[in-house]
Amino acid sequence: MFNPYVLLMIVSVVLASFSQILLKKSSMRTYSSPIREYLNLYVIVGYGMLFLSLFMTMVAYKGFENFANVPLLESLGYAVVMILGYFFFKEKITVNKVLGIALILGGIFIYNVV
Amino acid sequence: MKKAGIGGFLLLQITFLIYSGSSVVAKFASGNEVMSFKFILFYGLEVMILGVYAILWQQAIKKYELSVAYANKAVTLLWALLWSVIIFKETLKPTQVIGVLTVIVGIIVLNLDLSKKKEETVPAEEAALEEMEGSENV
Repeated sequence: MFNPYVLLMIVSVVLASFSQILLKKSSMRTYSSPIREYLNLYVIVGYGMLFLSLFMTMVAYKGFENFANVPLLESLGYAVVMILGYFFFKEKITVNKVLGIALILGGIFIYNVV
Repeated sequence: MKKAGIGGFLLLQITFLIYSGSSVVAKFASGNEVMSFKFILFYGLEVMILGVYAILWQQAIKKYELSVAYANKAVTLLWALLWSVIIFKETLKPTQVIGVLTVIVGIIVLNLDLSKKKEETVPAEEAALEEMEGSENV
């Protein structure tokens, strides 16, 4: 049966991934002062999104009988960020990245589920 | 984009090491009654650690591709495993160790991408830059 909390987790992961895009966008600019590197719209909205994502993840924990599924779903963010990085920053999707992230996801699966 | 180099790599790893501390203090906090003095103390400490992490992260991603920097975050699984043994005296399951080792291999494969790219694109400019970096370390 479809678990609505899975959908909540997917939204949470995508939101967290987009927040990283905003943070990276901020870091690519030059600023007049170090404070401005943090007090700008990208960073503030980025961390707002991340906060919202954390809240959604906390709620999602309630919906999973097996808690270990949550960090597993969270780790899909590595793959999502790789795809977003390609579209937003033209970061190439290389064999090393795909293989590396596949191993990372596999390892997290073994750690949590097996 | 600037190359991260050893300094950038260390910054990235230290950032995640600090980040892993947030879950340790969170666990300490959860062992106390909600809103008790110790709970607030540990919770405050957790927020502080996350603040330091946020400051460092913003610096760390300057010199990295986001996809690579972000996936390096998986190293926190290694730190979590170490803290659970050293601080919380938990016993490990073999699968946990195998899982962490697999993650580490994944991170190494991922990071090899950086050094490979250096070799592929070796314009004179970059070679000179590398030389400068090398001399700095001497």
